[in-house]
Amino acid sequence: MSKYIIKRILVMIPVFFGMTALVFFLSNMTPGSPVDAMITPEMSVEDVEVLRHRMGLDQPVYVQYVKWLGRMLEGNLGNSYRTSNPVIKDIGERVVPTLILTLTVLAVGVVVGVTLGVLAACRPYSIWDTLASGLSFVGSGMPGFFIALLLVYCFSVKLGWLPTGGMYSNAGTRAFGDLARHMVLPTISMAMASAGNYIRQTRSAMLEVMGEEYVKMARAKGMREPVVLYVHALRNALLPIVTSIGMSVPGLVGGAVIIEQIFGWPGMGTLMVLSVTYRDYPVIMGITMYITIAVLFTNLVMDLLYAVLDPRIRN
Amino acid sequence: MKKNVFLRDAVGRFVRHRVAMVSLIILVLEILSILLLPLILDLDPFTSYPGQFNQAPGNRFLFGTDAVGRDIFSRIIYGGRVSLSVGFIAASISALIGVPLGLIAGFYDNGVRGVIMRIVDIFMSFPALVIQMVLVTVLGASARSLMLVLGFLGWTGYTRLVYSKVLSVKQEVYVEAARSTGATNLTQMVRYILPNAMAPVFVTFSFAVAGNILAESGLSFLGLGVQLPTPTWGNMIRDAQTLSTLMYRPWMWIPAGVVLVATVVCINFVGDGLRAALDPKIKI
Repeated sequence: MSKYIIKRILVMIPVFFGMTALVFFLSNMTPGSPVDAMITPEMSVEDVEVLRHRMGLDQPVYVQYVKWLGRMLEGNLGNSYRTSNPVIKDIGERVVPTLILTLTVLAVGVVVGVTLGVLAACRPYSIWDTLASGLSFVGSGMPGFFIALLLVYCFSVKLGWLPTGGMYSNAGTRAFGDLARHMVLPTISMAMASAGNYIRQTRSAMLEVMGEEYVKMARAKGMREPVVLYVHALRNALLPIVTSIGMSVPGLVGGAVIIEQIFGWPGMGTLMVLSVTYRDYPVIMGITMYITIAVLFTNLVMDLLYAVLDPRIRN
Repeated sequence: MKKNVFLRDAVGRFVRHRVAMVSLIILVLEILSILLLPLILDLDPFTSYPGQFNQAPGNRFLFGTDAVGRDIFSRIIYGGRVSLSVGFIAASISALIGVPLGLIAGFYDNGVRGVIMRIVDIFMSFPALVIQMVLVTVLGASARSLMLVLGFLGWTGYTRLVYSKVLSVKQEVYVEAARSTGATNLTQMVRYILPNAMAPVFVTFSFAVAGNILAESGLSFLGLGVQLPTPTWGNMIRDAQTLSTLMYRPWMWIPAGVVLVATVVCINFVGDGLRAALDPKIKI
């Protein structure tokens, strides 16, 4: 098992460097250099050169990349052009709200999706099956932002049941009930798509597994149907789902960008949109790196979980 | 005619997939009206009609007008041209990159494969929307840069698919026969392996078109995609970010959203039908 873990971590290393390089060179391709923003009319050409030298911009790009990488690994991502705060501080404030939202969405999506997928697979062509496949098609075809607007229109504007945005009603109070009320609409808007995805995957995985010999064997032994379904079939059907949870994380993060923006959720997505509008590259690079690391970490956890669930691949 | 037996069976299976057939008919009608309606009717998505701001749907303006007095119906039709062409062109760019790479990675059993598949891993671990946002900012927000960005980021699906298909196709007897009669690697790949690995590519293509339309509308909704005054469904829905439009003027954003959702769902159903049609093992 430890050999397997080491192998998975070694595989991550080229992926990590590939991504850092891509992020760095992308932001270097941008028209205009960071110096342009700092030039004042009183500065002479020599002053600009000194500034360029101090910022290391007169060196070849690969040298800049290595230095940037070194600073980044120390946790120094530079300062935001927009707020002048250290990037790590600006992002740090935003991590928890995004984590709360995305983890809730992930949990809701998986629970609803797997449940409906199992129901649909147990009774093919029943009303459950129709409902589940209908929901999965709408979920995958309907962009989160349109669902969000419709939900706000119905439940906040027309019915006035739920708040239109934000994380808490008052800046000072931190009540759980209040937070939950603010989370209902963003969570539904984002979870529709992921639930739809898991419904489809669970349904086809279950249908495949139910044809296997060991399921017939379990039935032949006279086991009760729930035991057959949930102990014998579901555990094996869950394997591909675990992989697809890992693969869904990048999409989830992307969805959070749009949904946070609509609901004024104070997370990294809102910061990302703001930074892109201001061309605040240190923050954009910081967020991208943050998300990359989070995605790699989740993939690792999912790989390990997979190994726990499926003893065959440990060797 | 002998080689068309598979095609004839596939068409038969597709026609029997009723949802996919209905979706295909809707899509064809939609594409025709997007292409032809501007030739028949006098549609103008850009002119602000003076004194006609925020008009509700009525006789003169079928779907009403927006906040600066432009005809919403014309904007939906013209927006469709933009959204659909971004979807199709980006999916084609991705296929042109992804299919050859998958073919090479599947065919050569050496370091080349490792490099290609590792690059695929890198691209797939990226949160697509975040990278799209950065790239569109670098290139400048427009329909053309969206096509390029979505196209150059979206090829990994094709590569994985073709790769795994090629792995099995290259074991077939007819490829071995070609090799033993002295066919070059290129001939083997292009003439014998590729045609037999292509079927699932069409399925991926249709899902890619739908995915690209969604990505375009998402970016345009954030104001980072196609810029006004050029209409797309995404930047029309963006109007609803103003609370008064969201509350009192639903005709400005709901029709655009409904057309967008209907289009994407129909394309997905067609993709589903194609999958069933091209893979005889799946029962409809």
